[in-house]
Formats: sequence, C-alpha cells, structure tokens
Amino acid sequence: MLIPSPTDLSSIAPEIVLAVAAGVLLLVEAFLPGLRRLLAPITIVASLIAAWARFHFPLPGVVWGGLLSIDRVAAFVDLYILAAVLLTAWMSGAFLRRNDVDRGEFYSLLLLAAIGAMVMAASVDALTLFLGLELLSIPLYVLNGFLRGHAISIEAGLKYFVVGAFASAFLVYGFALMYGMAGSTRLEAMGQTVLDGGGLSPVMAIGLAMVVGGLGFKLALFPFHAWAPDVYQGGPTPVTAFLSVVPKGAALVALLRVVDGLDLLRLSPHWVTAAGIIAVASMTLGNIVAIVQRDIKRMLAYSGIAHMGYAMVAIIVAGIDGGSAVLVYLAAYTLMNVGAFAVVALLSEREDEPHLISELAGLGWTRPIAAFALTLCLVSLAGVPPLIGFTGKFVVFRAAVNHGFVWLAVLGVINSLISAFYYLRVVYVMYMQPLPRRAPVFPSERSVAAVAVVAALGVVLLGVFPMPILEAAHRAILDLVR
Amino acid sequence: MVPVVFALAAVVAVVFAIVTIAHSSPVINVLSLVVVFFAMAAIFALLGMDFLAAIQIIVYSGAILVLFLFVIMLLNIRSVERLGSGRRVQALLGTVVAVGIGAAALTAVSLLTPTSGAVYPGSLETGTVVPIGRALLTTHLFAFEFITLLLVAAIVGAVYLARRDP
Repeated sequence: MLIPSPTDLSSIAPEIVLAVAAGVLLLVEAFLPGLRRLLAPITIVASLIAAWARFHFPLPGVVWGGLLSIDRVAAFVDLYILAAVLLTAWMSGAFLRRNDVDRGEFYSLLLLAAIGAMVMAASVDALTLFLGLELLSIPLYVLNGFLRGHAISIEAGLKYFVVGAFASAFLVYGFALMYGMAGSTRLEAMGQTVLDGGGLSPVMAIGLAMVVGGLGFKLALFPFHAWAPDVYQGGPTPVTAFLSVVPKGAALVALLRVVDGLDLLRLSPHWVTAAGIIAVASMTLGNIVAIVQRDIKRMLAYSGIAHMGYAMVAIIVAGIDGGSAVLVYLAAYTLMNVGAFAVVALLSEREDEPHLISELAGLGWTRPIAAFALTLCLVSLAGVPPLIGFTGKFVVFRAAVNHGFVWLAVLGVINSLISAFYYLRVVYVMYMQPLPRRAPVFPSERSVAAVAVVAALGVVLLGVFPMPILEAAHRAILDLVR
Repeated sequence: MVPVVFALAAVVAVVFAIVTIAHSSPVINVLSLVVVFFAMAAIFALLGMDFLAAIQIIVYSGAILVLFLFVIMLLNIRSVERLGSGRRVQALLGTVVAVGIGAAALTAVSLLTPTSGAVYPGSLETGTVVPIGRALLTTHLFAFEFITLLLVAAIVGAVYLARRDP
C-alpha cells in the first residue's frame, strides 16, 4: 500500500507550484480581467519559485513507487525548462498585447506544458512518460493556434495537432509492445528483459522503433521532421521559441533514459546504424534545406532539425560522456534559440505575414542592440568559439571521437561548416545591406529586447566560462548512468 | 443459462453489425452500432470482464457514439450511398478481403483455443474493477492524479479555441 510520503510530495514541489500558478492565472483571467498586466509577472514569479523549490528540497532519486526519478538529471532539465518558461513569458506580454490576445489562458497553458515536460524528463516509467508527453503536447496545440484571427496560426495549431496525435499513437503502441514483452511499464524492467534475452527480440525492437519514432516526431528528427517549418512559421513567435526548446529537451532526456535503460549500445548492433542514419540525415537535410529559406522562422526550423541531429550523435554515444554532452548541448541550444526567436518576435510587423530575412536589411544600424543579440545567437548556433554553441558542439563531437564514432563527428563538423553559411547570411543582410526605401516599421518593446539581451549574455558568458555548466552536467549524469 | 445469454448477445451483435454497414441512413447506422457495443459488453461481462464491459458502455456507447451522432446531425447527412452501389469491382474486392480476414480470424481462434475450460479465461479477479482500482490508487497514484492536469489543459484549450469572440 503506497501512501504519498513527504519525500514524494516535496520531490514534485516545483510541479505543484506551477500547477497552482496555472490555476491562479485562469482565475485572474476570469474574475479580475483588469489585472491582465500582471499575468506575465505571475508566470515569471511562479517559475522562479519553482526553480527555488527544485534546489531547496533534496533530490531523493526514485519516488512515487518507481514512476519518477527526481535525480540531478531531472533537476538540470527542470532548470532549463523553467528558464525557457521565464524567458517566454517575459517576451509574451508585449507580443500578446500587440496582437490583442493578452489572455490568462496563454500563460496557464504555458505552465501546464512546462509541467508536462518536467514530468516527461523525470519519468522512469512508460506510463508517466506518455502522460508527460501528452500534457506537454495538448497545451502546445492550443498555443500554436492562439492567434485565432490569423489563418496561418490556426494552420500551425492544426498541423501540430495532427502530427502530435500520430506521434502519441506511435509512442503508445511502441510502449504497449514493450510492456507486452516485459510485463511491466518500468523502463528498468524493460531493460532487464532485454538483458535476460541477450539482445532485442523482434517484438521489442519494433516497440523500441515506434517509441523512437514517437519521440522523433517531437524532436523533429528526419524522417519525422516535415511538420516543423510550417508550425514554426505559423505559431506565435514566443510559442515557437518555447516549442523549439522545451519539447525537444524533454524528449531528448526521455530518449536518453530509454537508450540507457535498455543498454542499446551494447545489446543491439543495429541501433547504432539506425540512429546514426537518423542523426546524419537530420543534420544534412536540415542544413541544406535551411540555405534556401527566405523566411527566418522557417530557416530556424530547419536549423533546429539539424541541431537535433547533432544531439542525436550524443545520444548514440550514451554513457557518461554522451549523456553529459546531451545536457550541455540542450542548455546551449535553449539559450541560443530563445534569444534568436526573441529578436524575431521583436522584428516583425504583422504575424500573418512571412518574416522575410530580406526585411532585416540595414537593421544593424537602426536597431543595434536587437541586431547584435541576434548576431551573437546565430553565430553561436553556427558553432563559432568562444560562444556556448561551440562548447555544445565540442563536447558532443569529442564524446563521439573518444568512443569510436569518428565518422559521426566528421560528418557533424562538415555540417557545421555548411550551416555557417546561412546563419552568417542573416548577419550579412543586417549589417551590409542598405535599409530599403520603405523600411518595415518594427515595434520597440523593451521586455522583448531584454529577453534577447539576457539570452545573448548567457550565450557569451557560458561560452567564455563553460566550466560550471560542464561540471553540473557531468555530476548530473552520474545519477543516471550506473 | 450462460450459453443462452451468449447466443442471444452474439446473434444481436451480428445482426446489428450488418445493419450498421448496410442501412442507408447514417443515424440508423450509428444507433445500430450502439446496440452492437451493448451486445459486446454483455459478452465481456459473461467472460468475467466487468470492467471492460462497463468501459465499453460508458466510453464507446456513451461518449464516442454521441460524438458520432453529433457530427452526423451537424453535417445534416440524410442518406449515404447504398453498399456497393456503382463500384462493382471495389465491392467484389472488399467482399473477398472481408471474407478472407474473417476466415483468418476464425482459424486463428480455433488454433489458439485450448481444448478444456476455454470459455472463461483468467482468474477470478483479473478484469474486475478491484485490481484496476487498487493499481490506480497505489502504484500508479501519481499518474492517476496527473491526468487531472491533462484534463484541465484540454478543457481550457478547447474552450479558448471554440469560444465566440465578444
């Protein structure tokens, strides 16, 4: 008989804080619509309290009868999910007011999605993993279609919904097959079944392939990537920023737990081939198609596909080196992407029109701060030292080389070189091309610019002083890999 | 007693399944499907699967079919094309495939069914609400409570997307 112990409850204190805040936001929207200005600050305060709670209470490891593992990996991921929530909420206020949809539901759904991501990243059980994925996805379907007046936003929401339903079905079917073989929903028990069988049985392999496919949809990995450009382009830009980092982070950590729990590297020779093809195809396709994009949000979507390809390399390496590389890469990717999307949110005239790269011409001189922040984020995405993007790629490729996956590292580096072209082209347009005669009028909102500056500062500071984050990731991963 | 109830339920299920696909009125199709689900629930109950029987009625007959009915009434469909009308080749192919699947299923069942005591599988407790309720409130308590957040998110999202602009 299991009654929730104080440890069980304190281990999910951050989730409880966010859930309460989500309720408060709905109540404010319903009964005190005059206080709408406070919606974003409430969300920010809630994410700060949740982050404090994560550090204040001890990390007990496996809790709730083996459903969740609140370890240092979970804490690491929670922290960057909360950072993404904070930055997204901060830039959302001005953005939503400009589009006349400043409503409590937005922030409430944002917090619920964050809870889903946190639970997903902490899950060591197929059931909670699936539920976390659902709580992450359902609010995002709505958030993508939040600009109800714009057909492009509704299209994004609908597309993400249809694809997301597919992904969930894949994941559930895969877990059902694995549950059928293992007789338990625990990832550990599934791993034990694989170990006892001396390798993956066919049913287990099909189940695993479907689970990887389901998570691959969320990660926008090739060949599950087709939704990403349309959804990125159509969704409200703060949502795109959130969408481009939080589900990917949660899904990557979930994948890490599955791969590590099943010890695929040792027990299944085909895993490396299959995952390697996915990684290389994602990188190559993302980078090459990104070159021809004219819309900056679509370009960042393809860049995201490529970046998940790099992260997949770290997943393949697995173990302590690969695991900590995944965590470092995630932190780096979060900062760079949120910063870039914050500038895109700032430099857009109308949400239902494409965000053309050519419209950014001359902005280096008229909007120096925003343009410089975007430059830093893009250069970091390209992987130029001494920025955080370089650190992320360095640890991933170093892990790959040290563990004998030289071919993956070589292909990754070649891909990084290709990617530099389209990232730097945006910088070129901003600084080297003249302001067009009828320049688009962009709003000047301090909060959105502040988010971009904070993210860019993070990109620089963590790039120059990477040791704290490297050590934190290393210590965290020791909890996961035994 | 049990064979009589089973036969009754089976005959009702098959007859109404045929009505479901053969009748030209969509409303009657859906209502016959309700009857099929009730008959199947009876068969589940005979097998000792109380929980499955209850879920069959609550979820399928209750929620999903009401949804079907709403869609049909909203779209105001009065009649559909009769079965196999116009497309002879497709009708023939469909019949062949359906008969083939049916034959395969029957063969599989006859191969799988053990010779003795095959009618009531499972122990006394599996399939009833007792183990399910126990699992929900003990080992899976977190997942059970967590679903409330999922429902809140779904309701808030649906209301936001569907609301009429003031």
